[in-house]
Amino acid sequence: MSLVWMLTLSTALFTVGVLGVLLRRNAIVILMAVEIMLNAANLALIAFSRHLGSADGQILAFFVMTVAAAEAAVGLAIVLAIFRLRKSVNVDSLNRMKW
Amino acid sequence: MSPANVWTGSPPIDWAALFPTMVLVVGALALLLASTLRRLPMRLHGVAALAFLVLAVVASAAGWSHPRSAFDGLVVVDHFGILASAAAYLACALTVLMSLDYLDREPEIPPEYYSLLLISTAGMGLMVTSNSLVGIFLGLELLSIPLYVMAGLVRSRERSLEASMKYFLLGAFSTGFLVYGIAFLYGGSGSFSLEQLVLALDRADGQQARWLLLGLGLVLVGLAFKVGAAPFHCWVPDVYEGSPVTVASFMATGTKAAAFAALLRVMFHGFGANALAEWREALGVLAVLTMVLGNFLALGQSNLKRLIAYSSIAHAGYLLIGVVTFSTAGAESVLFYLFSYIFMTAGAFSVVALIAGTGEGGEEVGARLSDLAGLGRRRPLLAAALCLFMLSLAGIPPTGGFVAKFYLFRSAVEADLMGLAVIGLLNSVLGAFYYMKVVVTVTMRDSEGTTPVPAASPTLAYACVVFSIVGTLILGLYPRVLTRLSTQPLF
Repeated sequence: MSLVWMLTLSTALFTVGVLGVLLRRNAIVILMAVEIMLNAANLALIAFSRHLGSADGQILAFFVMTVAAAEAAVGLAIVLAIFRLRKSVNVDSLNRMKW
Repeated sequence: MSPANVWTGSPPIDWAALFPTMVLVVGALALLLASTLRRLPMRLHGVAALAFLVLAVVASAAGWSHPRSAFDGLVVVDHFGILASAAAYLACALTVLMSLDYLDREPEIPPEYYSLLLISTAGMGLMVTSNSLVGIFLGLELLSIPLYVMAGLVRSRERSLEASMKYFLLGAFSTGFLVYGIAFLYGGSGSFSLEQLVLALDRADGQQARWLLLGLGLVLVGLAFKVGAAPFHCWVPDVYEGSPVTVASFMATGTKAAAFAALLRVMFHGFGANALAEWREALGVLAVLTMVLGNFLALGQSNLKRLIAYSSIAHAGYLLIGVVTFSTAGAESVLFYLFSYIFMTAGAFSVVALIAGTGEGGEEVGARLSDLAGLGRRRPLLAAALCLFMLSLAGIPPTGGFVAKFYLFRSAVEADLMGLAVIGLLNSVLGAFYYMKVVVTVTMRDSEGTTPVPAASPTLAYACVVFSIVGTLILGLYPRVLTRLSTQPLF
């Protein structure tokens, strides 16, 4: 499979992620959209790594996965804390302070 | 990070380059362990955190005479790295000092607070001492993730959780851009090393050049989010207003210092001497936009935390001028600016930390400007200190803020950026309005209604204020203490 196809897929995924963050209002869905963005980056890293014949990109992909896991853990904890207080995870209801 | 090393036996690792980061991480883990084993007084945690910070500073300063590097450039302890990580450690130390007393009045904040603070500081140290995009990415995440938690530590206060949520969502969003940008820089240059990036930029053409351009743009977006530059600034005011005072102070000082140091390194190494003219222009536009937006929006604020947030956006704009110069003088002036910014902003926040606390209904009181009215009569010394910090933020002599702005604008003029220097100066005048508004409120207005909660043990809490005053004045009256350090090559 050629590099161009892999990059096209990765760009499509990244766009889906960005649109998800911008358009969806549920905090958990936004979190999932961010994960899609990070995985789009992982795909690009691995595609480049294969294309260049160097292992560096794959190593960074592992780091990105680790960071994404840490971020998801913290993010879900924050969502949970908000849900306990508000009974809602809609980001539009986060309006105690004006944006 | 050349693949050959892996197979032919890698060179010995210079562990000394990692000591400061390791000290902080070990310290954080030790504090975490101690807090699970036994319920120690919060103050003890704070003092231990300070001790670990001092150790880290010593470990970092020990490398001054001979720069080290480890993991093939992933960690590079050069003069710039040592100075920038010193700024991060200073920001953390000031935060710990103001927390010692503040946490007594926010009983909901658990002892793990200090562990998170140390981990975040370790991330800052890693971020500014890395010549590799991998190190910058990992450092940025290590500094951000604990901060997402710290913003929401007052779990019963809606504003605190809201700040945490907003910071997390936008922070994670910007991480996506940063990583995607790093992927394309890797594709274009074949390496994560900033030095390789310079070489690649010189010889790239066609497809590779497009990848590099896209990658640099995305990385810039990611870093601009973290420094709070317009148009990626919208999270700053809400997050600073909602977070506990000390956490907001740490975000304003530490994160800004680390992110700007990393930005400088990417720009100086990543672009090299032949910085593309279009990039200078793009950054210049960003700087102007950031200054103007920050200053104009700050004019109408009635909450001191929110006002300092907009002021921090404006200061990010001034600092961007130093980045645009692409000169050593510009880099030095940015470092100097960061140090004086840390002193004056931490100072202002420490005054707020002394008067703010939890009021009725669990909401924070004491940070609104109306709470500060009549402070000059009730607490004259504290009011004087706040006025000094405001004057320094406005850039009025004999404070550090004035000298910092002077160096910054001078480096801009030397780099033929007359227009930017003039816009910066005009903005400082505009900024003086709202800083003076605080001074007038504190000294001339009478207090109306509720008086905020008094400090539990003033002696300890004043330490941070006094330290910040000394720092602001020394940098203003005798800037050579810092400038002579940068006579040696920075990078």
